[in-house]
Amino acid sequence: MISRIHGLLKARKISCLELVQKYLSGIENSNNALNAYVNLTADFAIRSAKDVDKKMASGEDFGLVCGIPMTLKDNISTKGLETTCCSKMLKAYRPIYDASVWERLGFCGSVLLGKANMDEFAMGSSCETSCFGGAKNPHNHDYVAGGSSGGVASAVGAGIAAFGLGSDTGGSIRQPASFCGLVGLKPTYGAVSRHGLVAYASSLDQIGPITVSAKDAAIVYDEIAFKDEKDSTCVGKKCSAVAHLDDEVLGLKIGIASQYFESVDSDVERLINEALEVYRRMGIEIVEVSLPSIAHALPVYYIIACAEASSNLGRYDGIRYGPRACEYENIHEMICKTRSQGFGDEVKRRILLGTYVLSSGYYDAYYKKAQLLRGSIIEGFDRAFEKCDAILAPTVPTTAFKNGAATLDPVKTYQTDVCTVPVNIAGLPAVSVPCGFDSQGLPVGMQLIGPRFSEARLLCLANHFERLTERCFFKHVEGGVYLDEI
Amino acid sequence: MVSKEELIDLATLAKLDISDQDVDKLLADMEKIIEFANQINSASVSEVEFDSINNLQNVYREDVVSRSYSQEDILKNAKTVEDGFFRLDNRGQV
Amino acid sequence: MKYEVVMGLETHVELSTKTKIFCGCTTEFGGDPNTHCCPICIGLPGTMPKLNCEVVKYAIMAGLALNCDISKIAKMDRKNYVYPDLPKAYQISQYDRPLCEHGHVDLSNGRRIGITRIHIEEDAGKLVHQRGKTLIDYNRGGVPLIEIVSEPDFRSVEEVVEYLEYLQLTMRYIGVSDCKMQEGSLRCDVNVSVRPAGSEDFGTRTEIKNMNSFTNISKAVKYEVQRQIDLIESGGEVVQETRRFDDASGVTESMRGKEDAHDYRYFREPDLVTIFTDEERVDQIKKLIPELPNKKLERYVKNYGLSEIDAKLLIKYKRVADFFEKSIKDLKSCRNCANLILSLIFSKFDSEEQKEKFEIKVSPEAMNELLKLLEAGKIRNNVAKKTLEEMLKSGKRAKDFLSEEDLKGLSEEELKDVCSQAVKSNPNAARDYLDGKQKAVKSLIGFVMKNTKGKANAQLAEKFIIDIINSKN
Repeated sequence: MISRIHGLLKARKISCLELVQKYLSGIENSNNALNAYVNLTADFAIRSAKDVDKKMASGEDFGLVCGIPMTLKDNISTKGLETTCCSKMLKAYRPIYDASVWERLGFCGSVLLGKANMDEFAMGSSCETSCFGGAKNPHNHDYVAGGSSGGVASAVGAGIAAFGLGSDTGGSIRQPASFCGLVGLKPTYGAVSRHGLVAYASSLDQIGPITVSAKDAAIVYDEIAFKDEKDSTCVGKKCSAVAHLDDEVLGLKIGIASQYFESVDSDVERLINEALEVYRRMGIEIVEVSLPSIAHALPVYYIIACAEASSNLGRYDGIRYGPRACEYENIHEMICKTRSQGFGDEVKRRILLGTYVLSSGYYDAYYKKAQLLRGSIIEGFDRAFEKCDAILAPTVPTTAFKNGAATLDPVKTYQTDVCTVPVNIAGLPAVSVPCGFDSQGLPVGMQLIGPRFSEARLLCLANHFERLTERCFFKHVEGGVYLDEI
Repeated sequence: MVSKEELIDLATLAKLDISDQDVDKLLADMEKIIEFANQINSASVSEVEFDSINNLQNVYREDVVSRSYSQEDILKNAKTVEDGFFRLDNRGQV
Repeated sequence: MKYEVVMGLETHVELSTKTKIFCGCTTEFGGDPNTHCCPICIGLPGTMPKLNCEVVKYAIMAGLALNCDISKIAKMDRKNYVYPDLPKAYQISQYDRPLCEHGHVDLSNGRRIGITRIHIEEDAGKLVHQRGKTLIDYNRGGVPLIEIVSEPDFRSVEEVVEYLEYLQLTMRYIGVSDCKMQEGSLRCDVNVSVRPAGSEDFGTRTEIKNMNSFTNISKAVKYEVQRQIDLIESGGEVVQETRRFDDASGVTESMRGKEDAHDYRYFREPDLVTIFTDEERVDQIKKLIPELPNKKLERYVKNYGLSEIDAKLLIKYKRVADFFEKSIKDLKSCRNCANLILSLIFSKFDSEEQKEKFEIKVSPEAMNELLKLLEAGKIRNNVAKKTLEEMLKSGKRAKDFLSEEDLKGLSEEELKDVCSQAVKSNPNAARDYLDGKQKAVKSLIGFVMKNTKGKANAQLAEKFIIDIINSKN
């Protein structure tokens, strides 16, 4: 999609302004039903589009992402533009600086259409903990778009953004990408700068693209993965993903770990097996690997993520930004009331769990133990990658949930992250790629997991899959902007 | 498992106010969540101590002054300010 | 019953780096509120810290100066607590892997104070409490600190003060902090407990805070010790708590029970990476450390033959000591130099601060020239003093004030001539001397001085005069 738009812009078949207006009217038509965008930045988008058109008219060279209408998850800071994390706690908050990824994309001429819906502070798997209500699945509005980057997936899946950036702490890019029939890349920890990403769990968070193709994901990844001085943990990419998209895959090995299939729906399992056949046809060897250490990944993830979250979210006290409670006797009470009014239930639960596992008396049994298990999970992956170049696994054991289903039982909902969290724990890259539809016509995704900084190879494998299956797992949605008429 | 008192202490530590009507529901949720976290009790762990996720070291900034933000920008998102300060109104003590 | 006091110190020293510990904002003291701030300083969502390399270097220098082991592997941790002066609701500090450990300071009474650890951390902002409101300024937030934690090795207030003075002096010497208590760049909390003399067990301790001068530390500790003893004597028990020293009333008072018991829930700061310091790096940093005050003192007394009092006065300010050492280059004795600094130059300063800055118009080279003239006998002490006065005023060199005549000096022959003249012109004085009135010589020396414009060496003149009188009889 990105290179197609780029081609149209370059050939002057359409101006950036016309393009952006098409998207804005698409949003106007569909967003009410989808709730993908929580804050439209139409004026800003139009200004940016005019700037791009000027730049193009001057004959200046422009990159692939220039002029591409896109969206950002609402936890990515945008200077002067509301960044709320879909929480009442950050209502009307306008950052005074840009996140590094947005600074880069903005500099390159990408056009921000609006900020996308998400689970409150990225805590959730259905987008329904958002204070604005959940984003709907573009393939069937009775189902969720997934979470936490649900708004981005909903918008891109519905064709009302060409691509978007989400963040993935335990699957928040891959799971909604899978639910909405899109490509979602969770980069290696440290490949993309987190500066400006409102922190949920700092040792797990990564920003990544949600796109309609592996190629688009590669284009965006190449742009946003750079060494950033503002993030001490960020080292950038090893190599360009675009440059390796069409590399030969013959002779590569894909690993299958039975541990990923323990509680997977039959439709999902069947489609993954069919995908394996496609890879076999490419001359890729399928090998068995074993990952016993991921058995405890889920509780390990929730312990570490919540511990870090309890600390990261301590700063919301109503003093420097955000709303403040009105009635209080003293500052302690002001802070407690502000936080209780500002945070939703899921956020509170996670803060409490995080506080619990770090508190004296429980630290060793939970936080410390989880860190040790994290070590063995990393080790387990290291061993598996001695035998294969990538591991293929379901992204989610199921397809999209029905609206409202995820909010009933928090622990049950946590279980649906079982396939996505190991990657975050180990800091690995993984890409979710559409591989079919279940009996109800809902998209199914598979994820390719690789060693650290193997994004280029993963996207190459995904690209080959798309090509061999003739992109038959990508569906246009009514009301979307696809530019087929041009 | 957590008792009601423990939950309230925890909430105080986390600076959350739990209303009486919420406490039972939250207690039930926390019971479930902690039970879920308890799954790791049975796990055996490797000897390799986890250090950090990226094993980086010595990433530093040079000691060179960069321009600070304007006072106006710094205070921009605050609910109440006074004479360049963030302001908190309080009847009692901090 | 006799009691023994047991104390341990936690000393916070603000490092004098140009920028804050995690961002490029200036560390300058003061300024309009919230003008030395950026998104990192006020903990805006999404901001990330980046460690200032000078902070690590300064902390290691402090560690080396206080005889610590430098940790090969150190890391940063989050100390979580909510307070309006802490914008992230956690302070980035070091918990179980501090930069420096196991150091010590030797006191003049021969006792050694152990230093448990030195770690780096960020300072908090400043709260101004007013009626019905609290104002917050985050300028100081993020200023780098080292916390120097001692063992509970102190047994008297005098030891505490000596230790602190030593820390202050050492930190200033190695240039890592100006250690001004008034500006808060040196802050100290004292853990105090008492126990029956001879007992091995520690008593319950209290932590006292909010003392902004050595005098106040002294007052606070004395008050607290007496309070604890009185409490025990009257059958009460000391409660482990934090107490605040009130400057106005001179007492320590319990800080009102904080809302909750502290549980800092330390864990590794995921936004920062490991601090690795190998021996090579430690050696590099060692080279940056100048001679430390205790070694200098030893050398001044031993090699320069200065009294301990004079030596201490010279060493107290590093700039003075540097000036002194440069000024005495190639001189046989450094007494003249020490005397001129301690009497004449110091009399120009009104405050400790001025002595610390030691801003004078005379360069050590100019001082050295003057001292050489004095040592060579070309000028006498009083001339040297007058000349130095002029030099301090104008910044000119000694030779600009001394005429050829002044500098020619006086040969022994010339001096003998003047002495003979003196005896000849004052026969009465000579007679008085022969009659046993030793004092009479003084008036003859006076004559010599007057006629040589003070250039004469009085001792030599006396010898010549007596010789002349004796030879005539």
